[in-house]
Amino acid sequence: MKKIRLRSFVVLFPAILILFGLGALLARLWLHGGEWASYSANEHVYRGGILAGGTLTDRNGVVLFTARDGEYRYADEEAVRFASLHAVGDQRGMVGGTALGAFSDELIGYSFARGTDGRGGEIALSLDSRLQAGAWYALNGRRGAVVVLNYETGEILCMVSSPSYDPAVGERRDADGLYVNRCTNGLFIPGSIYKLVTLCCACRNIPDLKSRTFHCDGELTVNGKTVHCTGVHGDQTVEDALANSCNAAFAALSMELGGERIRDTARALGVEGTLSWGGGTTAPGRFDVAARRTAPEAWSGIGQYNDLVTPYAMARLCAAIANGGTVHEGVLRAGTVGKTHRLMDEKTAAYIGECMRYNVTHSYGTGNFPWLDIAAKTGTAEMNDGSTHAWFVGYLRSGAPLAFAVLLEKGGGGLAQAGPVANHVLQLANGYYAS
Amino acid sequence: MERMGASFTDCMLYLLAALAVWILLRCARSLLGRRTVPEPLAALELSGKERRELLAQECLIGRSSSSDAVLDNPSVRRTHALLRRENGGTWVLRDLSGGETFVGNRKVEGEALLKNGDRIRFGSVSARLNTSVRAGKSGDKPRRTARGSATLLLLTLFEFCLLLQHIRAALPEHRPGILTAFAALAAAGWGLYFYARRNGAGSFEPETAALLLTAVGFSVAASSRPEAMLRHTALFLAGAAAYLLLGRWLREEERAMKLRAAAGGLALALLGITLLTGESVWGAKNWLSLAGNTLQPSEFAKIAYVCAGTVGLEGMLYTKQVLPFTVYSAAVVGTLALMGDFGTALVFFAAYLVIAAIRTGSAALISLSAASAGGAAALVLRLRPYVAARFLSLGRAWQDPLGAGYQQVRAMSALASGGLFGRGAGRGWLSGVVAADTDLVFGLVCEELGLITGVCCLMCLLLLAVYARRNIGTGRSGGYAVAAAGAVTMFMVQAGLNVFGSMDMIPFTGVTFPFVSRGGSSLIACWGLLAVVKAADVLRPENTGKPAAAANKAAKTSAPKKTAEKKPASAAGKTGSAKKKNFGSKTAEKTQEKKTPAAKTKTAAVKKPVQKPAGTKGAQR
Repeated sequence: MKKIRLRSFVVLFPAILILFGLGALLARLWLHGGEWASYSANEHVYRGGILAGGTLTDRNGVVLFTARDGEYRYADEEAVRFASLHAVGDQRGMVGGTALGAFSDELIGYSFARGTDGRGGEIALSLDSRLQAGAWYALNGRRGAVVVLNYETGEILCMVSSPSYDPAVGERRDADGLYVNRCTNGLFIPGSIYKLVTLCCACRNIPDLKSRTFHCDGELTVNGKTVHCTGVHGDQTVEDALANSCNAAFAALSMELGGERIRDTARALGVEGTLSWGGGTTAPGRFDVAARRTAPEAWSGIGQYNDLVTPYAMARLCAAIANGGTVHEGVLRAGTVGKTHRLMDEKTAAYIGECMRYNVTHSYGTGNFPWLDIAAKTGTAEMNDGSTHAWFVGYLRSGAPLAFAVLLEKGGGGLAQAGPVANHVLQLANGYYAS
Repeated sequence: MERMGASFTDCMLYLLAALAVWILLRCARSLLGRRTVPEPLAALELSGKERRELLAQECLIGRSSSSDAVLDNPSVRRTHALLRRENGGTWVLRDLSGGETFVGNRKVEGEALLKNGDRIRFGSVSARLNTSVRAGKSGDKPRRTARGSATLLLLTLFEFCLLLQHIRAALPEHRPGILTAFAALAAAGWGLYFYARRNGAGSFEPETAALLLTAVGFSVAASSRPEAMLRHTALFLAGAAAYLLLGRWLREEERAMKLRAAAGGLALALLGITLLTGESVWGAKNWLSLAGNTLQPSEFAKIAYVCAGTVGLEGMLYTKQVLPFTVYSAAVVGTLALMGDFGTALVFFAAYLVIAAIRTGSAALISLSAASAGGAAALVLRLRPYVAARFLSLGRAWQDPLGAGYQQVRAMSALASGGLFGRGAGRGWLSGVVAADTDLVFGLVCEELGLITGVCCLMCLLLLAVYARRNIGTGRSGGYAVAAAGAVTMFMVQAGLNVFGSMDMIPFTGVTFPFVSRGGSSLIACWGLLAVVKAADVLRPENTGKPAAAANKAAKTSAPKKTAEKKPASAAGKTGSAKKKNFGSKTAEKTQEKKTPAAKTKTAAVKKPVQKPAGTKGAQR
C-alpha cells in the first residue's frame, strides 16, 4: 500500500488546476467585473433595456443624464442635450465611446464585493454644459466638431459633434454619420494644420531649419506635377512660411524629410494611429508614405494626399505644444488627470508655440480674438469635389489653460469659418476659467 | 417596508455566506486535522526483537523502500512477496520472487494460505507471522466515529435560510412544493447522518459536503423550475437511496472486485445503447428516452467505469497490467466522442489518467496516453467543425454576445452582479436563460447566493479529493482507493469544465456541476459516486465487527480493563511479542484473546476464532 501512497498525490493534480483556474477567474472578475455587470442583458442593471440607475452631471453639477428605477431623463436645456449627445451618450447605446459606456460600471453602482443591484452612483463629468451649449449655438447647425480641453490636466471641457439629435426625444434622423462622435471618431483631411506635424518633423531632422529661407513662386513643380500655393510668397523664413501657410515651402520640406520620417513623427504625435482617451479609443489617424520625389509625397506633408486625422488628436497635439511637449490624455471625469505622454522635447514645443503665436499676430489678426492670448493654426483642407474642411486648432498661452480644435465639415475657409466658432467658445471658456 | 425587506434579504445573504464558509471549514478541519494511524492487522516477527507491522489489507514485502514491510537483506528481492488479508481474516501469501519464498520448509508456488505463527522465509530472512497483534503506539485512541451533528445543524440552518428566501421570492402556488422539498432535504440529511452513526462509519464530512452542494442545487432548482420541485426532491431521494444501496453492496470487497468486469461491460453497454438509439440534445447524442422520462446513461456509466478501474495491490506492480483497462477506457472515451459529448469524454479520460497513474506510477504511460488523446482531439477538431468553432470562440465571448458567446456573457454578467453575497435566492435573472440550471449553474449560484457560496461549492469538491487521497494514504484496501480517486477526479474535472467553460476560460462543453446542476441522472450518479468515494474509508478490518458506537463505549471503559487484559495478552505473548501492549476494546478481539491461550499449543486452531467475527461482519456493518 505504501507503493501507491505516493502515487495517490496525482488525485490532487486536478485540484491544483482548479485552484489556479479559480485564481484566474477571480483576477478576471476583479479586472473586468464592471464591464461584465454593465452588459445590456443584465436585468439587475437594465430594465427592459433601460439603465436602471445612475446620474451623470457636468463639472458644475448640472444634470446631463439621470436614471432611477427604470425612468430616466437628460439635461433640462435642449441645446445641452443636443450638444452633449456624443460625449454623454444615448442610454439606448446608439453612440459609442461615451461617458455612459466608459463609466457604466460605476454608474450602475458596481463594486467587486457588492456586485450591483442597479441602484446607481453619481459621476461629475469634466464637461461644462455652458460651453457645450455655446459651441452648439456657434456651430449653428453646421456639421463639425469642437473639442476644448485643459492642457494641464487633460479634462475635456467641451466636446460637441454635429449633426446631433435630442436623446430625450429619441428621434433618429437619418443624417449621415449621426451617431459618430466626430471629435474622436470622425476622420477628416487635415489640410494646412498638418504643417504643424511637418514642422515638428523638420525641427527634429533639419538642424539649420531656422536659418534657412524658403522661396515661393506661387507653385512648385514636382515630377511634372504642380503643387499650387495660396499666393506668391517670395523668400521667407520657416516662421513666415507657416504664417503664410505656404504650400511651396512645406512641400519642399516634406520632400526633403521624406514620407517615412513624417510618418514616424505623426505616429509619435498621435495623429497617426489610434489613441485611447477617457471615453474609449479614437478612430485611427492615417498617413500613407508616398513614393519618393513624387507629388503625393509633397502633398502628404501639407495635410492632403491620404492624410486623415481626428479633431481630438489635433487638440491633443496643441495641448502638448502648450504644455512643454507633454500631454495629458483626455479624460471625461471632473477632477481627474489624464495619463501623461511626451510627444516632443521642450525646445521644439516652445518653438512651434512661438510660430503659432506669430501666425496670429502676423497673419490671422489679434483683433479677431479680443482679449485672448491665442496661438493657433488654420487649415482649409481641399477635397476632390472642390469643397473644403475648415479647421482652426491652437491653445491659449495665458488665461485659462485651454487647447482646442474646431472643424467645420465642408465648412469653407479655416480662418473665416472655424475661427469665429473657436473664438466664441474660447471667449466663454476664458471668462469662466481664466485664473 | 421595502427597505426593511431589503435589509432582511441582505442579512440572510450574509448569514448564508457565513454558514457556507463555516460548514466548509468545519468539514475541512475535521477531515484534515484527523491523523489516523492505523492499528496493525498482523506482524512479521523477525529474528531478535525486530518486527514489521502489517498495517494494510495488502502488504508488499521486499527490499525496496516502497514496500510495506522492508526487509533490508541482499537475499530479498526488491518486491519479494505480497501478503493479502482475505475478508475472513486469513492471510494469503503470494510469491513474487520466483520461488524464493517458503512457508515452513515448503516452497510457495503461487499462493499459500497462512496460519498464525507460521514461519515464512523470504530469501534468507526468516519471519514469523503473528496475526494476534493488537497494539501499536497509537493503540490507546479509539477509532473515531462519525461526528458532526453540529456541522449538520449548521447545514440545516443554511437550508432554512435558503428556504425562507425562496418562499419570499416565489409565487404563492410554488411555495408548498419548495417547502416540502427543503423539508425533505433536511430530513434526508439527518437520516443519512443517523444511519452512518448507527453503522459506525468513520466520517460524515463527505456526506455533509455533498449535502451542502445538494442544498445549493435545490436552491438552483427552486429558482429555475419551482413548479418541478417535487420531482427534483424525488430524484435526490433516489440518489440518496442509490448511495445507501451501493455503499452497502460495496462493503463486500471480494464480491465487488469479482464483478468489476461486469461493471465495465455494463458501462460500455450503456454507452453503446445510447450511441445507437439515443437522442440528440444540444448537439450531443447522450440522452435516452425511457417511459416518458429522459435520462443520461453516461452519468450512470461513470460509477460502473470507476469500479471497473479498481484493482488490488497485486495488479499495480507492473505497468503492463493496466493495458486491458487502457484499451477498455479508449473504447469508452471513443464512444462518448462519437456521441459528440466531448465534455463527458474528457471527464472519463481524466479519471483514466488518474487511475492509470495510481495503478502504474508510470509517467511514460501517462504522457503517452495524454499525447494520443491529444492527437485524437486534433482529429476530432478537423472532423467536427462545430467543436473547432467552440475553440475559436474561446475567450471571445464578449465579441459575439448574441451568437457563440450568448450563454457565457450572460453567466459572467450575472456572476459579476452577484458580488460576494449575491442578490438573493430566487432573485436572479440568469435562471431564465437556457441551461442556466445546468451548464451555467456556477453563474446562477454566484448571482443569487454570491461568489463566496459559489467558491465554497468548488471547495467542497476539492475537499472530497483531499479526503479520497487521505484514504489512499491511510486506507487498507487498494481497490476502493483507486475507484475513489477516479470518482473524485470525475467530480473535479466536471466542476472545472462547468465553471471555467461557462466563464469563457476554456471551451464551453456543457457538463454538469456535481450535485448542484439540476438533472436527475446527474444527481443520482453523483450520490452513487460518493458511495464509491466512501467505500475506501468504510472498509475497515475486523475491529469494525462491532458497531462503532459500542466500540467507543468499550474504549471509554478500556482504561481500567487494560491491566486485567494484560494477563491473557502476556500468555499469548508466548506465541507473539512479549512486550506488546494490549488494546482490548473490541469484542471480536476478546474472543480471540480468550481462545489464544488455549490454542497456544495448537496453532491450527487460530483460524477458527477469526472466522467468527467475519461471519457477523456483513450484518453488523
